[in-house]
Amino acid sequence: MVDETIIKGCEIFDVFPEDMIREVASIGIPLKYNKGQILFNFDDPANNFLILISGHVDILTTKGSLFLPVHTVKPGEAFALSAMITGRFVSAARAVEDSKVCALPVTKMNRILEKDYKVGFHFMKRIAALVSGRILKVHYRLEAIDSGYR
Amino acid sequence: MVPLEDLKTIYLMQRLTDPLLEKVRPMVESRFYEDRDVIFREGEKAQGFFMLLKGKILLEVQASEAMMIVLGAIKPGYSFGWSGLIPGEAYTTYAIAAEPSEVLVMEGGRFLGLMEEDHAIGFRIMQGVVNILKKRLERRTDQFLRTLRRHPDIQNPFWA
Repeated sequence: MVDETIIKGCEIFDVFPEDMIREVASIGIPLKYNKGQILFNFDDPANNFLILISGHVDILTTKGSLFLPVHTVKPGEAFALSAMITGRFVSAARAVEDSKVCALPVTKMNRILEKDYKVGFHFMKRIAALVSGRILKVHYRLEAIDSGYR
Repeated sequence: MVPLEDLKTIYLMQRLTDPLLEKVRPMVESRFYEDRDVIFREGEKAQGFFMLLKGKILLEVQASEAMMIVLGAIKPGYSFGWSGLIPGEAYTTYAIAAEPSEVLVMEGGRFLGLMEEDHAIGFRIMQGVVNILKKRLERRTDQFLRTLRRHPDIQNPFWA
């Protein structure tokens, strides 16, 4: 169980009513990672949806043994989105500094979401917006690189 | 009306049960396009949302008056014209049939309205949308990595 303020502080849960916030907080598991520690790796089973409580975490894209940061997660931000989508991680995450994380087991999260489709619908819309934002970020980086390439 | 079985071949619709599909079905119409027919144009007000049943559709942007660049190809079962689901948006690409194609079309605003009205449909469709977006993110990230690797000014951007 984690404090309800952690869930309320995460924008993606804006659409949740009080009773559902309490329910989500009740399934939360607090975890600690040391600087440099890998939270998850490419192709690991994605069983937990995560919220960063404190510290900083880099999302890394991987090619074999190579890693490249593509996004930095800030406190209050949800990540490990694959847990809600594919069930396996398609990227890795590494603690840039000592970090605290709230883990939400995805099977329990899905059970909560399916109790109220309205909340579930708006929650998935938020996830879609987060993924779209990341696509745009990569798109702009590609454009920047390509323009310097010509 | 479009047969239920046709709707079931569309990836985005595969999470919907038959009763939920029956609610979507009256909104869907089937259209046929010949090779090189334009389905929508870049900058055109986006009103329709499209799902490819048969054939092949190319998404293209106009680089100059004489040159079009292909951004991607849509295979049967996949959707395009996502801007049609965002009120007031314009299409960001051209959609052009690369061979004779059958396309299922919905008015984007009505489809959004149905999702807002029936959240069981909205939730399941949104799960599909997220899945598709995630795959696009993976493809884009892969493209980003490949571009970085061949960039002459970037020697070693990776750490092992």
